[in-house]
Amino acid sequence: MILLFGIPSETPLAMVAAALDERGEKYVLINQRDVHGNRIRVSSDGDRLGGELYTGELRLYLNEVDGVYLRPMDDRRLPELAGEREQSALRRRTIAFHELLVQWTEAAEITVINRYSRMGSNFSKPYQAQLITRAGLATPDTLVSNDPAAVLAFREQHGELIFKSISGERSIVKKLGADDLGRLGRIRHCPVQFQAWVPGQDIRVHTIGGKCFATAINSAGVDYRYAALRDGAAAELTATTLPDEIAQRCLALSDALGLEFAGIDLRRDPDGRYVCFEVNPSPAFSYYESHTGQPIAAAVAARLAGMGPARSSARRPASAGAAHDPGDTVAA
Amino acid sequence: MRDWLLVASAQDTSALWAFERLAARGRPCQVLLTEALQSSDVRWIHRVSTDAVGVTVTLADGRRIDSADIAAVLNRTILAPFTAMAQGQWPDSAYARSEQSAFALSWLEGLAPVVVNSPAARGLAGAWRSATEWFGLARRAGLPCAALTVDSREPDTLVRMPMRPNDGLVVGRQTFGVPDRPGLRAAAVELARAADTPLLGLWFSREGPPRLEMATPHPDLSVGGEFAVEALDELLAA
Repeated sequence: MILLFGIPSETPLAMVAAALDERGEKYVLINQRDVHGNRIRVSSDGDRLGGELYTGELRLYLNEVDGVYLRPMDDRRLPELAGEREQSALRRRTIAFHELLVQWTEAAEITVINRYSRMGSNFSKPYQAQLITRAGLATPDTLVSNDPAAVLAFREQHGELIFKSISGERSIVKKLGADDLGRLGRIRHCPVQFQAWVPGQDIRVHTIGGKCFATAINSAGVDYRYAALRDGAAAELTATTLPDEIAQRCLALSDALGLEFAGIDLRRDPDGRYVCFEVNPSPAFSYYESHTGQPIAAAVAARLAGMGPARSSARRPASAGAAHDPGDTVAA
Repeated sequence: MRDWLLVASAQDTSALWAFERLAARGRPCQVLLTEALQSSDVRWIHRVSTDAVGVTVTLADGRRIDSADIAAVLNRTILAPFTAMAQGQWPDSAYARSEQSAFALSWLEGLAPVVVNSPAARGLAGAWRSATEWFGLARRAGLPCAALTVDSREPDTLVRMPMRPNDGLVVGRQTFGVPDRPGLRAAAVELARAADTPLLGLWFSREGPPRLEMATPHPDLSVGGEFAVEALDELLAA
């Protein structure tokens, strides 16, 4: 049995559900918005973990679950909780359901895409950058500081800089311009993250089940996610192929972070060097799949169904094709 | 010889005591109180690149701590040191708290080659876990666990933290206060390893055979007395 948790109309979740249908897999979609019907009870006699999950009219035994895809939105912002007091019984039970489901996925020995404990590195970009370099990928030179003089010295060293949030709070990446220098003194109150500007082509890599799906993005914008909005021209996305060594390092990075499924943001600079900016542990892959036709949802469904190696295993990627399948080149 | 650094709140009496004892053993110890980091006069420079990580913090009184001079950190940070901006008006305060928490995770990780416990996204001095999660890890480590029933319809059942100091303590590969039953001490060490928290506090049931009731990455270090200080000395020197 496979569990999907989130809002059924949300595109990535709907695409994984459709891919499971196509495979003929048995699954249950737990609608996060069913705040009145959802309930989970976890129990242990000290030796074995068990329990039940109730959703709608269904009752499921947790020890019959083999795989879980977690794709919820922030439960505090559910429309069904609008107007509920901070400590209302419904709000507390909804939060408890979310928390206990997550706790159970941490403890259960099943495939989880992805465990929350493994998503945490994305909470701090410079922290994650330290983990990225340990996996063998380059990262941009970064300064986090509340000292304007240090920022000016960093700018002197690197020329163009960008700045963005340190945390997982969504922010639009911006270049540090002359106007920004005039208000640099404000950083005294809260350190800000600055990075050397790396020119080149953006590449999003999705790793799942030992495969890499690489998408090249052509955009005139500093932050391609907002290209249409800010620069008037939408980004163009095409499937591409990574050098074996880089694909291998992407798989190793996902492994090192403990992620079954990851969205890795790379940029290939004009010298052909690959730089890694960030790893998204809950990637909205539908944007990339809809533009390229890469079968990412199908790969997620296959992994949930127990196919493929757990994370990347020790296999190496194939050398050609937009989707690497290391299963073809397993070393003895 | 590079220094050892304790990062802790002034309220963390057991960590301050342990570090005093390490200093008495001749270790080059410095203390960085998290309260001293809350001033906007503190200057931070944290560099991350493919080849190196560095942290320099200059306190309001001019004292400077540079990661290049630190060999090991005893990390007891529970909350990121928030400045006034993080305590002001919403939503700027919420953004500042998120940014300063994320920043603390990174500079703590980069402060020295050895950081005990290393910071995690779910806890700056090591991940905080629910009883369900601790029991999952403990069972795999071979540690017997108490019975457990948690129900989302009864949210209070999710909270389980004993109101007494931890009974047992793991410091690296050594245990203190863990009941002397076959395999129990080795299982406790394995749990600490699996949780990536070489400093780990444990509570055991007091009736019947000892079973794990709860664990914490922020234990009372005085439980192990001078022997625990000796184990901490070995851990930080590793």
